[in-house]
This record gives sequence, C-alpha cells and structure tokens, in this order.
Amino acid sequence: MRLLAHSGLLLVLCLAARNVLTAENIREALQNHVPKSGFFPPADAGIHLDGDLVVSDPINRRGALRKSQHSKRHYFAMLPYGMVWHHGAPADVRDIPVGTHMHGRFLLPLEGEENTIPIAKEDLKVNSDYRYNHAILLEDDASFYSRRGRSWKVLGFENGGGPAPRLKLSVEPVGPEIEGAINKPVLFDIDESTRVWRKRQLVGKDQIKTGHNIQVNLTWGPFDSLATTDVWLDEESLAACREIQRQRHLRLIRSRFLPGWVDAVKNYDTGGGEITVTLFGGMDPILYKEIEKVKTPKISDAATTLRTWSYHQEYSVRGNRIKWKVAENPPLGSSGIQIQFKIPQMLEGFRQGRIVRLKGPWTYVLLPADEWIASPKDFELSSKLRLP
Amino acid sequence: MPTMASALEEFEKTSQDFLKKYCLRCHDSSKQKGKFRIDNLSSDFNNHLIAEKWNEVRFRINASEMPPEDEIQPTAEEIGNIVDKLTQKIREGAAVRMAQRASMEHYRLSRQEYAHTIYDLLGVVYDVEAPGALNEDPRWRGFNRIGALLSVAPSHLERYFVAAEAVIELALPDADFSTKTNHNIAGNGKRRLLQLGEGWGFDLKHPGRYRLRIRGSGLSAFTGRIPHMSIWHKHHKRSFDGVDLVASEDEPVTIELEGLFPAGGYEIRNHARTQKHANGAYKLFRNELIDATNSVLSLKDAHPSPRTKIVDDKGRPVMPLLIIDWIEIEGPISTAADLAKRKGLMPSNENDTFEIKKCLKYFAERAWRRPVIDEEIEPYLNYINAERETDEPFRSVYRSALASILISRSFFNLVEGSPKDKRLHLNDFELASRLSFFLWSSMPDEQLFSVARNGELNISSKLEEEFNRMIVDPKIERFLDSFPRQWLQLHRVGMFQPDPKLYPEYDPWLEESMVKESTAYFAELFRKNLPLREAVDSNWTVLNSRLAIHYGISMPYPKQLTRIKLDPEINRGGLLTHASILSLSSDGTRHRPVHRGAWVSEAILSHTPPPPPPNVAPLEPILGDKPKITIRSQIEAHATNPNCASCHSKIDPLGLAFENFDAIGRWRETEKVQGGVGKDPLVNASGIMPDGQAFSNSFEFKKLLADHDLLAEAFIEHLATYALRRIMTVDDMSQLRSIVGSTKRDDHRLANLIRKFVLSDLFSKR
Repeated sequence: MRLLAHSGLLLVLCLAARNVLTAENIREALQNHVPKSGFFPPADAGIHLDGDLVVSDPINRRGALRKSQHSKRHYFAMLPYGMVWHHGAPADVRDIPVGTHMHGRFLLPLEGEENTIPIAKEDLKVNSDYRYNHAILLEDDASFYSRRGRSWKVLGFENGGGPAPRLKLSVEPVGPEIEGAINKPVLFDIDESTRVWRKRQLVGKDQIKTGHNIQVNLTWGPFDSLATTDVWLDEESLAACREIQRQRHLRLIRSRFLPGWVDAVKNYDTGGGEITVTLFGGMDPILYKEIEKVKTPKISDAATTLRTWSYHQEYSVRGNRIKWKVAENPPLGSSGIQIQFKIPQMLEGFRQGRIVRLKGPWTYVLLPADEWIASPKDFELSSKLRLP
Repeated sequence: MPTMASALEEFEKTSQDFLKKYCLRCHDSSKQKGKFRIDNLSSDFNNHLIAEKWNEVRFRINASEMPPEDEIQPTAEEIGNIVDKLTQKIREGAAVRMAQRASMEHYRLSRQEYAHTIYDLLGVVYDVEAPGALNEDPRWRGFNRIGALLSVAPSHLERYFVAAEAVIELALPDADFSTKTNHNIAGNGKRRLLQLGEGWGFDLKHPGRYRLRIRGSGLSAFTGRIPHMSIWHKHHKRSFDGVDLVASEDEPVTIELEGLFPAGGYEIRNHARTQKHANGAYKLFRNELIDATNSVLSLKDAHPSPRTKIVDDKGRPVMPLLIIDWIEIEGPISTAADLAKRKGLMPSNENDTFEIKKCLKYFAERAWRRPVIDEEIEPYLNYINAERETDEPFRSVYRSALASILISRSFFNLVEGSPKDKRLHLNDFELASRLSFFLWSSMPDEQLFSVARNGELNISSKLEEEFNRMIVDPKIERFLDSFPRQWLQLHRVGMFQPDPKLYPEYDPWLEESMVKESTAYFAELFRKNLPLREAVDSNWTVLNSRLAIHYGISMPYPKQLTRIKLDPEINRGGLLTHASILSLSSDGTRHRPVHRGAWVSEAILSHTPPPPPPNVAPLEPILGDKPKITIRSQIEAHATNPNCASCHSKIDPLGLAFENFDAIGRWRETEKVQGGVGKDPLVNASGIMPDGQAFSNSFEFKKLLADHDLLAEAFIEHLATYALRRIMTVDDMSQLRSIVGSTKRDDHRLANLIRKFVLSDLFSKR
C-alpha cells in the first residue's frame, strides 16, 4: 500500500521533472495534481480555499463555499476519501450548518469525474480556482486552527465605526503561521447571537476577558467582515462540543459503514474472489478498532459519493478477512489500514479503485430512502451536481 | 444343546485357548458368574439368539470390560484375534439367516426397479421418488435390492395401490393427453442471463417422455471453465439431463435433449455452483433479461450496481455464463415403442367376455412375468362383472382390474420357487426375470419371454445368446449405472456435505461429476471388456470439464464425459483415486483415513472390519499453541492403545495409502491443518499391507491391490449379491471361486467375468 500511497507523489515528481526540477515546478505540479481512483494524492496537492458554506448537499457530499459578498459560489464535491472536521472532531457535510466559514484543500477533479461539478467558462475567466473543485479536506475555524496548534489571544472589545457600527472582538494569533489563514491581529464581529462557551455552559460575552486564549467559529459579516458564531473560552468547552460532534459522526458511520476503496482484485472463476481494501482516514480511531474485531464484515459497494445501493446490508457480501496490515504515516485521506478479504461472491463494484463500505459490529438500521441509489436513474442523477 | 466340548470345538485352537484362558474361569458350569456360561454356549451362529449372546461376549472383550481388571489380561493381539474370529462367525451366521430360502421366496423390487418395470410394461413414467410415492429402500453395504431387507409393510401396500392407479391412469387416460409444444421466450429483443446457480423455471404437468429444445449461448469463464446447463428438478434437487454448453453470444446454438422426466417444477440451470448468500438468502441474483443487441460486456459499463460481477476489467466473464433465448418443451411424447406396450391392453368390445379375459391374461402374464392360468384371472373378471351390474362405466371398472394386477404380489415381487415343489434351480421364467432384473433392472422383453416359453433358457448356449443380446441393448445402461453405484456405495458421495468455508470449490455439479466418473469408468471397463485389475490401477479415466479442473488437468477441457489418458503427474488412475471414492468417507471437514481403509476393505476386498469398541475418544482438535500434525500422526498416536492397535493395523494402511488426497479428492503434498502453529505438515502415504507387503504411496499400493487374489473374488461376490438379491454365504464361496478361476487366464476381463457368472450354476440356483 505504501507504494500506492506514494505513487501520487512519484507522478508529481515525474511531471515536474519533465521541466527543470525547481521548487516552483514542484509546487505547480502539486497544485495541478489530478487525483486518480486507487491512489491517494501527495501531501500539499491542490490549493487552499476558504469561505462560508452556502450550499449543502449532504446526500452526495457536495456543497459550495462563498468567499465574499461579490464572489461566485465555489461548488465542490468531496473526494471519496475527503475529510470533514467540525468542532475539532470528524464530521460529515451534513454536520456543518450552512453559513459556517470553512477552510479546505481543493484539488482538480478526480479522473473521470470532470463533469461532476459543472463550471461556467466565464467563471473560469474570472477565477481559475474554480477548477479546483474536489475537496480532500474541509474544516471549520475551530478545527482548522486548533488542529494546527493555533489559538486567538483576546486583546479586548472595540466599537467599530463606518456605515454599520458594530461591536468587535479584537484578537491576535497565537501559534505558528499557517498557509491561507489569518496570521495577524484581527477584529471579529461579536453580538448577542454569538454563543460563548465556558466549561460546559453557555455564558454571556461579558465573560470574555482580555488575555483569554480562545477558539472561534466564524461566518460572513457585513462588508465581508468575519462574525463570530461561537467563542470557546477554554479547552473544556471545546472538548465538550468536540465530543458531541464525535458521537454524532460515530452514529453516522455505524449506520452507513466505514468507507474505503479497493486496491487490488483477484477474481476466481466461480463468482468469488479476493479484494484488498484500504480504509479511508479521518475517522475516530474507535471505528477502526471496532472493524478490526469483525473477521467477516459485510461489504457493500458504493459510489464515489459514498452512497450505497438500496438496503446496503442486504446488497452486500460477507468478506472473510485473510490479512490485516497497518502502514505508518499514511497519506492524507488514508487510514493506513489495508485489509484483504476472501469473497464468496464478487459484486459489480469490486474493482480496483472503486469504493466499498464495511460494516462493523453495529446494529443494522434502514437508511432514509433518499440516501440510497435505488436505480440506474438515481445513479445518473447523482453523478452530477444539481444546483438548488 | 451342545456340550462344553462341542461348543468350543467349533472354534479353531487360538480362539478356544483364549476362551479357556480368560473366560471359562468365571463363566463355566461351576462359577456361572453373572448367570452367564460360555462353556455350554452353542456355536450355532445361524441361530440369531445364540449369535446375540456371542455378540455380547465380543462387545465385552472389545470394550475391555472382560476379563475384569483384577484378572489376568489378554494382549492386544489376542483381543484383536478373538474379536475378529467372533465377528467373522457372527457375520457368517447373519448371512446364512439372510440368505435362507423357503420353498417359495419373494424378493420385492427396489423402487428404481419398480419404475423401470412400469416403463417397460406400459411405456409410462412413474415418479417413485415423488412425495407420497414409494419408500426409500434400505441398504446393506450399498446394495438396495437385498430380499431379506426389502420387506412389505402395510404402508408399502398402500403406496403400491396409489401407484398402480396412477400408472393405469397414465396408460389409459380419460382426458386428452396428446403431445403439446410450449415455446417460452426470454422476451422480445431480450436474452436471459443465468449466472452460476441461477435458473429459468418451467413446469411439466405430466410425467413422460419430453423433447426439450433450448437456444442459447454458453460463455466460458476467463480461466476456460465451461458452463454446464442442467435440467434441474426443484423437488428432487438433482438434474435429469444436462450438457456442457459453449457457444458465443453472436452464434447461439439450439440444444435438443430427449428423455423421461417426472412431473414437477424444473429449471434450466447454470449448474456449476450453488452458493448461499452471506445474509442467509439464496444468493444475490442477477437473473436478468439483457438486451439481445448488446454483449454482456455492456453490463460492466451500464452503471455500477450492487449486483454480482459478470465480467472482469478486460470484459471476460468472471464465471461460466449461460444466456438463453428460448425454451421449447414438447411432450409428453408417446413413441411407437411406448404405444406398442399398451397394445392389446384394452378390449375392443367391452361386452366380449372372452376378449376381456384375453386382455387381462395377456397383461397379467407380462406383469407377473410368468404364465397365468385361467383361475388366476377369474377374480378380476368377477370383479368387473359385479361392478358393471352397479352401472359403473366399463372403462373405469376395467382400469381398476388392471390396477389390481399391479398390486398383486406377483408384480412387485420377484417370486422364486413354488409352494409344493422344493426346487434347487430356477425355472425358465424365474431365470428370465433374474437375468433381466440383473442386467436391465426390469422385466424381460418379449424375446426373453419367448425363449423362456420355449423352455430354452436353461440351455447354456441360449442363455449366453440372450446375455450377449441384452448387454448391447440400451437398457444395459441401467446396470452400468446401478451396479457401480451400489457396489462402490456411491450414495455416500455428498452425504456429509463438505464445509463450504473449508472447501468453497465444492459444488453440486462437481458432486454429480464425481459419481458420473465412477459409473462411466465402470461402463468403459465393461464395454471394452478390460481386465478387472484396471478397476484399481490404470492410466486412464473418464471425465468431464468440471472434474478436469478438480484434478488440475489443463485445457482444453472436454465438453462431455470423455476417456482420457492420464499423465503420471496427474497422480491418478483406477477407481480408488476417483474423487467420488476419496470423498465418500470424509466427514465434511476432513478426510478420514480409517473410514477410507474400511471402505477399501469392504468394497474392494469384501471384508467388513469389526465395529470399533464403544466410547472411542475422538481425535482432539489441535489447539493454538501446539504444532500442526497430520491426521495420520494423530491416528498413530491413538492406535498405540493396545486395544485399538490390532484392528487398526489391518484397516488403516488401506486408507493411509491415499493420504495424498484431501477430503474432496484433490491431490496434495501437505495436509492443511486447522489450528496449531507452524507449517502444514507433509503427508506420508506409506504403509504395510496386512500380509506384510510394504508400499510407499498410492501407486505402489494400487499395484499390490491389483495383483491381489482377493480382488476378483470380492468383485464376483458383490456382483452375485446384486444379481441374486441375497448375501453370499460360505456355501457359495466354492462356486464363486470357481467362476473367478475360470476367467483368471484372461485377466478377469470384466464382460467375460460377468458372462461366466451368468452361465454359472450359481446364477440359475434359487
């Protein structure tokens, strides 16, 4: 698997090497790396973008960010192994409230999925970043900054001026400088709609004191300012929200199963065979421990949206685990866990690079019917972003 | 009652010494411990009450209960010897009892013979295996036609009554029974895709002869594995016909199959595999109609789906596929030969008593397979007349009379002897029936009846003439299928279904193919009149594509059962290396060398080993931290117990010679051991025959067996058991040996051996 994980990087280096192997060439090759099914992209591939989540299609794991008052929506699809973080915990697109300011790492479309997110030519003329419409990572501010060791030091409150005078929270960054982040003192809007968390309680904004080290979540504010939706005054308060989000995500995955993709396939000539699966990353570790306990998990095939077909448990086969391998330092998107299964009956989707979902020791529940792909027409409809 | 001396004198010296030394001290006239005496126990083993007592003695010695712990103990060899001797005597007694013949004997037909006889008598197919039809026949060492076991209970009579009515209804139906042709198409512009285990259903309302025409394509898997199209009966859970079908999607072919089919639900089935779906349902079905204009390759790109995979990334089928366009079913067909069987059955004038009597007599003579006197027909005539007086329609009454002839004991039994005349030999009609039920599993045909009527069948040359005629008749197929199945106990194949987790390759088509190999091999030996030694040692076999894969024989695979020469590296040759034989003694999880040995002893050498002592500890599973060891090693450790060793030393080598074959008959160098640590151990197939000859593998063992004098003697004993429908006794042995002796010069060529047997005095004896 290590070979597979690093082959994306090799590809980038090969492309760069066609020209002179300069830092600029490498950066450009990384930025324009085209992800391929079955291969995780190299670190730092694509570009960083941020903006408010203004469209959410949680069924197909798609959405749109809006950078500013006048910018067009930046539509995107999550890569199958794309990860979402909210309140510092693993999350799904459905967990992010519309309006939340998000940071993301965006790549060119997955090979073969170029038409998933339609792009108007005139938009490209304005901003070529629209080409980068497949996200490998999406994070709210609390996750984005806290996971990189950053926080905000409160400098005090200020009364803003201009045509719409508003109360401002003055902060300065504490911690390392981050690409695409705010790396200098800044004023955030704050008002009575801001949730201020201390320990496990909501408190008034009067509890925010100069010198506090805080985390914030943001949204659009007038004149493209950033307004606070949440302020966490201490680690305990953020940990409480993190745990709630963690549990919400555990509940989601336990009913939808753990996603991964097929690295290798060996067909027998009697309908059975063997498949090797790498589980995607970005999950709570307990899920991997749970799946490890199941030696014969049920395996459903799935689309790149991670959607499964009909009653996913019934339309699955039980794999008989013959190998469990964990790689160290897996690439972004991968859990590093590779499992080989013997399969009594191969499903159509058990092909190299295709997505599967593995059921752990979890109670089976029927999914909402609009999450299934129930027919070829359903699949056709799901293969392209449908604008609201 | 024999005296002490006379009772023990019946035993040879070693046994006498054993009984005197270890038993009589407590069980003689003075002590009579447990109120049981051996000193005056009769040695008349033909008496079942006496045999029961000796059986108790054997059991106690074998279980080491006797002599008691505080008494002087016999050695393992002594125990083995006395148990062997007692077993032999008990079995000889049982054989004599089972072979006893009164002045008149009735041997009930097996249900298979019943079905064949009905067909040959009336051209009617009666499904003896249908629910509520005839009972399954009991077996003795594989044989299901032993008269002593085929008793007639009231439940049998009830079933014969129902069967007779159904048969006559089919032969003389009220309703129109004419041939119809149904044409079922997959759909306009559509073809039906059948992946492994899937079928396209159709029903046959009436049993009978049908002609099936099926148009379709058969695509081999990417490895070359060929699809097998089977005509699968859903209730009987077995196929009644089938063919390996290879035809491209562009050039479908029309297959025509004709045969006798019971009524019921059928499937045109892609038979190579059946598997349970993981959630317990039958499987993930595709069973879909596909566009006739597109190839199956289009299924890959149509859209991803949760259904099973049909083609690999290169567009090649991942399993053998059938694609069916239409099925045409024509039937039930009455051939001219079938109609001829019913000729003369129905009187043309229902008021002509003379003609009615003539028709009844004609039918009864054929059904009862002997001349019938007028007095025997009178009750049937009287019945018809009485019923007609009550205004019952003639047709209905007459049919009841015919049915009554079929529920006569003279129909469903082979009757030999006569109440007044204690004959030693069969009369001509009895001999005709014995010969036809031996070779055709059915009644004699008109030619054979005619020879019997002329009183010529007891003339050796006439008998031989008939034998020669009968073995080239298509009905000889019944013997070539039925005898090897019973002799080799092939009903045990698949009795313990191999665990699908351990043997995922095992499937119903493989199981069916295994049995087909052995019956076809026997048929080839017979047709080519090959030496009997080739039954156990040869460089050829008869197999189909499924078995070729199982044996690791490379492509091109044969599309039907084909005789092929076996290269030495295939490691096979002879019945003993057939997957059927190697797997019939397995228990579903592993091979059982001791059972294999017991089978070789019983089926090939005609010696059934004594039963194991009670409470034998089973082989323990190998625990996680113990090194992996072979079953053989475990058995050898087991057999160090002196009580086990004496018997096992005789049985085990016969099975251990085949250690290179696993539970489903695949060749192996190492034994796959569940549990334990370390590498799977190498197998060891060497051993020493009970007569001291050593062998190092199955090849050497087979050669020793092929040269063994007992091979032909044991075979003829099995053949006689099948033909004479009774167990052979010591009284028959000299005649059996004489038959064997007469064919020794030509290497006991199979057809010659059987011919000699038919011409022997033993064959015509009651």
